Amino acid sequence: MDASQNEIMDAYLQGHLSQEERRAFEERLEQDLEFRNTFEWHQKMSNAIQEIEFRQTLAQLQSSSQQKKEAKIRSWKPLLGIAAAVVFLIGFFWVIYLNQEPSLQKQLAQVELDPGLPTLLGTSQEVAFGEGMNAYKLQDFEMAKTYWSPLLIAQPANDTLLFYLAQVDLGTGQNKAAQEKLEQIKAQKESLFLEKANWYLAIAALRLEEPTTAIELLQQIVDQEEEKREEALELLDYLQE
Amino acid sequence: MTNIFSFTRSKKKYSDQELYQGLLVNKAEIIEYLYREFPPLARALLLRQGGKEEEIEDAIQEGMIALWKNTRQGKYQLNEKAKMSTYFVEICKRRWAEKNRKKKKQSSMSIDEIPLLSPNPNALELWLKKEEMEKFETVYQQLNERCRQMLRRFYYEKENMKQIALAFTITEATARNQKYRCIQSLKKAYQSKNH
Repeated sequence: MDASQNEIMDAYLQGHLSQEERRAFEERLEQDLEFRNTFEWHQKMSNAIQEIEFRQTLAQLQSSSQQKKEAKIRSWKPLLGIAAAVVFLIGFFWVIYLNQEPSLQKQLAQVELDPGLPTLLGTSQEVAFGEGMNAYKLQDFEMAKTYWSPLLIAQPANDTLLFYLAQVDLGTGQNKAAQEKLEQIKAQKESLFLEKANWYLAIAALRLEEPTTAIELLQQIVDQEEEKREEALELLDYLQE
Repeated sequence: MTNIFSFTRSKKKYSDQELYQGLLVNKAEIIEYLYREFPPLARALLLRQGGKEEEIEDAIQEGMIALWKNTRQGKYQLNEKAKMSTYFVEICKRRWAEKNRKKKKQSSMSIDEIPLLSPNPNALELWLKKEEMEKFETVYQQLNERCRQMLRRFYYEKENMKQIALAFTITEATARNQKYRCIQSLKKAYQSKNH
C-alpha cells in the first residue's frame, strides 16, 4: 500500500469522498482482491485504534473522577473537624439549656406561696374567709377559691382577697390571672401586700417568660430593700448566671 | 499527558441525536457527559438488585464500551421509544447478570423496543477478533509517542491533516508522510507478531 492509497482509504472511511469517487472506490473493492484485503486491514486498524483510545479516555475519566472525589474529601476534612466541634458545642449548650430550663421552671414552680393568715371567728364574711384560708393552708386551692371568689365580687378592691386569690392562681398555674390581681394591689400605694406583690409579680413574669419585667421587679425589691430582698438577690444571681 | 477533561463542566443537556453523533466522532465533551450522566442510572438499578460496588463499576465500564461500539456497528440506532440512557442501563444490567451467571431478569421494556440485536447492515464494520485485538494493542502501545499521538489525533479525535501539521509544527505534506510511515510500522509489527 502506498501513501496515496492510504489517504483514499481514510477519506472513504470518514465519508470525505464524492459520490463518484465513492462508487469508483467500491467498484475497485469488488474487483481487486489485494486492494480489498488491504482495505479490510485498514478498517480494522482504524477501529482498533479508536477502541484502544476510547478505553484510555474512560480510564482517564475514571481516574479524574476518583481524584476529584478524594480532593473533595480532603478539602472537606478540616471543615468536618470544625463541623464536628460545632455539633459538639451545640449539643453541649443544648444539654446545659435543657438542664437549666427545667431547673429554673422547677424552682419557679416550687416558689413558696404566702403561708396565710391566722383565722379568726367573726362575721359570716370573716368565717367564709377563714374557711378559705384553712383550705388554702391545706393547699386545697380550688376550695379556697370557692370561698374567696364571692367575697372578691363584694369587695373588688380588697387587697387581702386580691393577694390570696393571686396566691391561689399561682398555686394552680393561673399566672396571668395572678399577675392581674397583683397589679391591682400595686395600684394601692398603701397596701401592706405591696412588697410581697412585687415578689410574686416577678415570679409570675418569669413563669410567663417575661424576663425583662421580672428583672426590673427583682432589682426594685433589692434596691428598695423590700421584704423579699434575699430571695430576689438569689434569683437575680441565678438569672445573671 | 495533559488532562483533556480539565475544562469547566458544562451543564448543557444533550439530545440522543447529539449524543449519537458525538459518539460516532469520539467527541470529548459528549464522552465526558455520558460518563457523568449515564452511570448513576445503572448504579442505582444494580444496587437495588443487590450488585456489589466492584461488579457494578466493571459492568458500567463494559457498558460504556459496548454503547460506543454498538453505536458504530449499527447495533444501537436512534429510537424514539428507547432512550440512549435506557439502552445503556439495559446493557449494564445484562453484562452484570451474565457475569453473575444469574438468570437474566425480564426487562421492564420489551426486547423489541431495545434494538440490542438488530444491527443496521449498512453500518457494519470490520473489527479485529478479541485475540487479534490483544496483539494489536501490544504493538500499538509499543509505537513511539509521536506516532501514537498522530494516530490518536487522526483516527480517534478526528483531526484533519492540517490540524495535525499545526500541532506538530510541520508541513501538511510531512504530516501525511509521517502518518503513513507510522501505519506501515504498526502493520509490520502486528504482522510479525501474528506469524
